Amino acid sequence: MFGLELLAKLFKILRAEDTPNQIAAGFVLGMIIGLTPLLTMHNLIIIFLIAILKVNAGAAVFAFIICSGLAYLLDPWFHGLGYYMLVEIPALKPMFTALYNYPVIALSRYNNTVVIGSLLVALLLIVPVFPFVKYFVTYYRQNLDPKLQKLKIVQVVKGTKFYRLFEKIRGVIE
Amino acid sequence: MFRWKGIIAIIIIVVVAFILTWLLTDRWLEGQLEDFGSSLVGAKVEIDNLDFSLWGPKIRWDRLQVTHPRHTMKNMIETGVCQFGLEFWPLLSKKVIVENFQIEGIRTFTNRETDGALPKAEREEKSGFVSQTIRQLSQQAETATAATISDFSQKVNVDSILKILNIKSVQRIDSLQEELLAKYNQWDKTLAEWDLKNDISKMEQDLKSLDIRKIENVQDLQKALTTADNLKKNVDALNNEFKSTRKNFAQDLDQARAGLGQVDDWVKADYVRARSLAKIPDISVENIGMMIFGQQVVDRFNTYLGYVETTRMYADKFKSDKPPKEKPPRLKGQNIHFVSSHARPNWWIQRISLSGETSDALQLQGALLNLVSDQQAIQKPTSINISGSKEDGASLSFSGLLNYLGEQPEENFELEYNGFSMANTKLSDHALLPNTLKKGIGRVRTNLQLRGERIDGKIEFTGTALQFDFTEQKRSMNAMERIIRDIIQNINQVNFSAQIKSVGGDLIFRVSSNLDELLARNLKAAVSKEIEAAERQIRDYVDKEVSKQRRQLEQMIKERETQLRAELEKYEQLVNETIARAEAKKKEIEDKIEAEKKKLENDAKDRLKKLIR
Repeated sequence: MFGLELLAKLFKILRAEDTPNQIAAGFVLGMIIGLTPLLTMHNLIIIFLIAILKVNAGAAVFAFIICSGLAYLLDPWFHGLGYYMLVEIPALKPMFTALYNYPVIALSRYNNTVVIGSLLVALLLIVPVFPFVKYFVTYYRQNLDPKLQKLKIVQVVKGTKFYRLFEKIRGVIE
Repeated sequence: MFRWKGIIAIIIIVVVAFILTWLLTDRWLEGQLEDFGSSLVGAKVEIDNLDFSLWGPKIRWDRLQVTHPRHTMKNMIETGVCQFGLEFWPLLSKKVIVENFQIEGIRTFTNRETDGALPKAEREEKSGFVSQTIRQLSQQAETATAATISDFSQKVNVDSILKILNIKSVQRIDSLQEELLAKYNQWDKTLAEWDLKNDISKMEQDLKSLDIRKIENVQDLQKALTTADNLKKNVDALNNEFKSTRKNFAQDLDQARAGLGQVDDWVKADYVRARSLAKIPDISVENIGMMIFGQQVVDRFNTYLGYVETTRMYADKFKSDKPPKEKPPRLKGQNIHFVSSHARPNWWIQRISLSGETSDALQLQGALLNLVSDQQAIQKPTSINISGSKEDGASLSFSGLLNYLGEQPEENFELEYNGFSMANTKLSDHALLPNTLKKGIGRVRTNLQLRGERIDGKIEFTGTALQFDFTEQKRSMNAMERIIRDIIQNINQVNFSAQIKSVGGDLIFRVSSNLDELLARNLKAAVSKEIEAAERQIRDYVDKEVSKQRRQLEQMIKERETQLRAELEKYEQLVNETIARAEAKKKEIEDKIEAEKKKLENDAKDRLKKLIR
């Protein structure tokens, strides 16, 4: 059931009025929140950005759900990477020591292995994920969506009373 | 570009968050401090109505209760209302700096309404030298104090013990016998397959073939001498081989005999096991002090060691340049601390001024200085000094120093408590000293020093003008209880001293008291007959079970050794005979060469004479 909801959400995002840039931006911001531990300073800033900027919030939520599960699986790897960065690279130590004692930054929990490990991975992933999502949205809208809409099963579902009722209710809620 | 609805939502969220923070921070901070304190003490730490104010900023609470880790229905410390200020700017760097924390009205050993024990799951089994020492001390005290008064007085039912006693010596002797048998068989095989005999008979033939009677000239004799030399060398090589085999044989036999020597230890272990199953108490002078006072002494040492364990753990956390990689729960991670000598520590309470009174109305005052997350950051050790006195002349002084500035951690504690009343207290919880005191004056002096993995500690106690209360004692006492009563009725002074020392991993822990010899002598006299009978019965049973196997083993070793030695002696004889023959043959050739040389020399002289004439 949850899988279907997620699929429905994905289609909704892809067919939204937002531009591919807005969807891709929402997706990468949600990805960062999903991959890194929730209660951190950078996530508060990202949530703030999602709220005030015109990025696709649905894409952010979708990415957050997907990436949270992924983060749970990758946690030992993030821990290892974070430990390597914080402990095993002597050249970075003066910088980390300075940050550790710097007001406000010290509250950011960067000295936690999972926080820094996952944040680094999330930031690196922006480079391939943003253009990929953008390209995928464009491709979907141009090539896949028209074909999908023509599928009998889609038309049958759309023709049911239940679907019309669901759309009505959703319209009222939204 | 901007989503105005989002901005409004954020403003609403911020306002709600601010209100929630305002409402919940106190509760959250209270919980955090309680958890941290509980992990430090090993029992519940509770704070009532904590109030955190950002204006100041300051913290205030109505009451603080620190549960006594061993008496969890009592508080080790309880305070009234306390308030202290924090420095604001360091808070933004996640640092808590308190200049002066005044705690007044401290009371000790107060009653608790609920049990302050932590759930078992929350107590971590720690590793490390101090933790190991704590465990060792606890085990020693537990073993020493396990004997109860009934163990001294009950009739020892040896028969039931012997039924369940599985004598391990018998199995071990059987295994040893099999092992030795295999070894002897191996030697049998080695000696049987040894081609020494063939080599010797070949050499004998070679020696016989050297028939010098048939040799006429010196050149052939020289050749025969070379052959004899070579034969002698071969015989010597054989002799060396024989000696080496004999040496291995002797070593194996020594090992076998050493195995036989172990049998005594196995029998002894069986005997000790049977004795422990029968719960026969060891009434020796060395054990009495440990039995009576061991647990108290260990509790006191372990209290200090517990604090050392915790402080060392935190000191290590901040000291380590390269903290070991932990295995944290998923999504939790490991926090790495970066220590800078130019920065302020993560938390630092510069001074805690204390005043209050103990449960027996001793007025206390003192100060704890530099309670800090990392001493290196402030280059000062943590110290505590508390002193107190009472109108009746009792006085207390306590000092402690925790120094983690050097390469090795150092801790030092000293406590002296003089002239305290012992009325309505017990000297020990052990059954050997069950009575409460009507009156008495106590004096205790404790010192404990730790440096790295070395511990040196001493507790000296003296109780004078003691008067025991026998009114509560039940009328129908058994013989043992009567003996104890008679002894303690006639004493008015008890003193004991305990020593703990650990160097290079060996822990020495001793307790001795003036009661040791007195109690040991009287108790031994009372129960010795029965204990001796039980011990004899156990010893006889173990010996009987083991003796048959033991005799068999000894017989087998004797027979096989004799047989193998005889075999080896035969070889030795053969080798020696061959050596003798080879040497004789060589000498014979050398003699003949000499004779031939002389003959030739004489011939030459005769011819020369004839020519001259």
